[in-house]
Amino acid sequence: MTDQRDLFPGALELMILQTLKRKPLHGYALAQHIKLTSNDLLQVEEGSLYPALQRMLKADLVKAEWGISSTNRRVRIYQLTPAGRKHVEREVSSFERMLEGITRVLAPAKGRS
Amino acid sequence: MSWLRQLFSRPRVYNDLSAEIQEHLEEKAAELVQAGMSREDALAAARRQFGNYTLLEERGREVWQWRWLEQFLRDIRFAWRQLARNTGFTVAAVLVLTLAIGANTAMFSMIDALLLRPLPYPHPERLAALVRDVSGRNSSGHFVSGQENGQDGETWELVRDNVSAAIMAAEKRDTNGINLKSGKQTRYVHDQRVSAMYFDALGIKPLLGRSFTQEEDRPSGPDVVILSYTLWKNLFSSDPALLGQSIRLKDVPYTVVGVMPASLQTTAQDADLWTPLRPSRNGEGEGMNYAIVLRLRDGATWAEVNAELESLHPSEFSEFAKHVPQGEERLTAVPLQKDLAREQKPPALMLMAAVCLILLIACANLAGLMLVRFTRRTSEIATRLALGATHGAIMRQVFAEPLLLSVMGGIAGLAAAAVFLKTFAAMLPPEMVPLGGLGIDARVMFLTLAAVVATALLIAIFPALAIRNIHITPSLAGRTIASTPRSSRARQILVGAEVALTLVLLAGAGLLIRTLIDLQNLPAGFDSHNVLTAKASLDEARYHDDAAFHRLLDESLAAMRRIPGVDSAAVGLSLPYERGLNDGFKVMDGPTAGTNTASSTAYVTPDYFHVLRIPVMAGRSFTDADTAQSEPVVIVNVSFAKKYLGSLDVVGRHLRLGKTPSTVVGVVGNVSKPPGINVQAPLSTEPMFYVPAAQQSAKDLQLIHLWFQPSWIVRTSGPVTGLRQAMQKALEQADPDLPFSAFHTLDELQGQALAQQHLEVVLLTVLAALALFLSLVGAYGLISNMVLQRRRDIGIRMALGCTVARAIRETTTSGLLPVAGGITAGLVLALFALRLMKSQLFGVRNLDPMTLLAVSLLMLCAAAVAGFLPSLQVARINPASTLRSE
Repeated sequence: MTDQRDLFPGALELMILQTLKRKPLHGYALAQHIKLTSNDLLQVEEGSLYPALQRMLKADLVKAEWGISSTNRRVRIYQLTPAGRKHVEREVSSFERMLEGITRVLAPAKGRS
Repeated sequence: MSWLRQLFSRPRVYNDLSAEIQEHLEEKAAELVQAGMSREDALAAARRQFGNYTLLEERGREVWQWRWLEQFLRDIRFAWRQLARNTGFTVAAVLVLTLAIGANTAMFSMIDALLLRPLPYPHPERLAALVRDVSGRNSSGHFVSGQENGQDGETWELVRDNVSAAIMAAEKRDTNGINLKSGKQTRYVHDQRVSAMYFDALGIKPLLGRSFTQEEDRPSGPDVVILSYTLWKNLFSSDPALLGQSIRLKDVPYTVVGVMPASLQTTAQDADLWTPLRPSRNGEGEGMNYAIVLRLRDGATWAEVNAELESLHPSEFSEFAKHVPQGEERLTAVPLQKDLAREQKPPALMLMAAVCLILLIACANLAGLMLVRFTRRTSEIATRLALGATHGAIMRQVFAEPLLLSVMGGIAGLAAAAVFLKTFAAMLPPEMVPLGGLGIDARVMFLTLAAVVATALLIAIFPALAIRNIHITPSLAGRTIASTPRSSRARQILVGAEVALTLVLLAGAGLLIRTLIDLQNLPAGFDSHNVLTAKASLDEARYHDDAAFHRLLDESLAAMRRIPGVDSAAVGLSLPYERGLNDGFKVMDGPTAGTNTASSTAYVTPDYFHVLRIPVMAGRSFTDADTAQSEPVVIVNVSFAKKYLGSLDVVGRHLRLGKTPSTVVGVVGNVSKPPGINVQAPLSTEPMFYVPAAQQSAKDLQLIHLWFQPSWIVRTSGPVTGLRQAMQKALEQADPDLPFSAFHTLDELQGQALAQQHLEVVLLTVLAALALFLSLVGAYGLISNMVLQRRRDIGIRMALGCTVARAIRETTTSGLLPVAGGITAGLVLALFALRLMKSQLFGVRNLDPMTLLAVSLLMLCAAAVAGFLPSLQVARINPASTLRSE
């Protein structure tokens, strides 16, 4: 069963990686951050972060350590590994190229209508 | 992270994940409580926003699992529980698959040994046999072609001297019995005659000593012998000093020049020792008596060998072209394995096809049963679908049960195959066991694996198709897919297919049985009761003198006649049921004068016809007055008189045998014999002529005894105890150094001549019986299920006045429709399939209408009984209660 709200395969992962690039975060903070920055445009089920994080842990893109959050909770903080950093750069640039392509294809159609 | 570390860190990973998710929910709830929500509401809202957290946690865990493997194991465990719940079905299914897969494995092992497994020599792909491609119009005008592997001395010399691309060697493919004297004892041993370079061509180095030199392979070269490991070990206690010493063979000293390794198997598998072939253009070299082996030289190609062979034209080729319309012969090299398997290949392929059919029938049968099992589980499956199971998950289960069954059947089948192979090996005459023996190797195991997978797929495909059509709502309401016309049609098709394939097997078995009955019922032409025979080798230096030979016969026969209980005794070069010597003759007078051809022949002593009770139809038998000094005489059998002399009134006519004209003095009845020329059946009433043993010249005797060992035959008035020892003693009185090889009754000889046919009949009959049983079970199951489904229907009709008898008749009839369809389809299939059997049938046509009719009726009657039994349940239907139960 794939997550319906995952826009395309890997989109959620990409958002997580991009967020983690700025600073290490724990799961709840990650979810809030993605929600806030996307202005609630992307309806991401909070829980779907966790299978995605497990996949990235297994692929060695991120690593996790138990720590204490700013609100004094015992949380698991995720941060990018060097491999994850490299991966996100590659993926973002290819994503941007794809987005640019889509925009170009869509633009004239809008002009004609 | 390595997979092993992953495996052991799993519990920690899982704990981290659940703790983390729990923390997430707590944090969210705490935030909401701070915003003024009650604790319960906050927790619920946190969960809502999180999504289905059990499922998400599971997805998180799955990342760390080998999903396929674990799902697979789960499915197998589930299937095992399902099968364990119904032990009767499971045991029966595994048993059927054990037999079917076991039979396939065993038969494929035979095919493997014959055609696929490399011969037990180094670089077997560089080995070939020399054959003649022969084609031309036969006596009935049909254009025929074939390959012959017998070669004459001229051809041997031509290829030996002109083919440079291959190492050439000649051999006799069978052994001769000869006498080996060691100490006081004389033994009958099996000698294979091979040329120089023979072992070099095979690529086998002697364990001790060397192989034969060119010098030793020339006529009247030094007498040398190479021993097999077994003989060297058993008779000479593995004495290495034996090399260079001489042992007494055929009454003369032979120098031991080599001992072969224990692993060596030559084309004559019973060889105890080897002596030089000494091929030449004379004597045996005048006929097609040699087989020729080639080994490709390093760097040479088969194209080069064949080009060299094509340029050779032995004089026999032009003779053939002169006498046969459009006759043509050509020398060519074929892979040695192919040549060795020439005769066994057609029956092996036929039996392989038969065991494939039995596996298909077993699959159709189990597919039908499996269909019923899953039909009964319709509502369970619908419930699971309703609860969110994917169709994929259900399909995996449909495949898991058949897979489990066929894996169990496959493992047990391998064990069964080992038993079957032992039985084959015991039933086959030694010369028909493939070189290298029968066994289960990696290739055979692979076929077993393929059979297991194919079986599982074939069994699963029908339930899988049926389950695709399960719709949740009607199924939950208690209706089963069985009531849809689609799945009951699937069962009817399965039963029809089983019946069709069974009919093919039954027809095949029927034809083979008719062939065997025909062969066994061939008028033997003699009386086999109270007759015992034994062979001795006269390939002895002292019997190169014809006077010594005649004295031996007279003295030994006289001694045998003195044994109490013995009525009469005789000697003949060959017996009924034994292949005879072929010799040429020319008809000198009468309507067929000038006929010049060859026929089966044997020398016999005067009492031969009397001892065997072969009737003398005209003229006289041989007498003691027919001697080397008297007029040469000959007796022909009825077939010979009709075929070559044109009538039965032939006493007084003349045949030229060799140089002298012989007078026909009698005509005797035919006996059953394996033909030596134009082999069309394992036994037939061959044309044959007999000559008196007393008129054989020394030269003829020497040649004949190189190939054939004459038989002593005694007839007793009843069972005589110790007859064998008494016969051996009688022979020893005439010659103390002459051992008898083996004692046989004539019934045993008949059994040996028809061993292959017996084996084929036994195998195909067992397979056909199993097939019949399986398809009857299929028909029975179909009809009893139909009665069950139509209970209500029948109940209503009976309430409306339909009689029980009519209801039974109608149920049986509609149940037998697929059987009738199957029989029709089977007959059509048989038209094609039975062509495979043509080479195995004698005396019956491959589409014998009587046999086809008989097996169709058998199938129909058996199916009618199988269908009638379950429809009797109709009688127990109580209209009132069936109506109420709905």
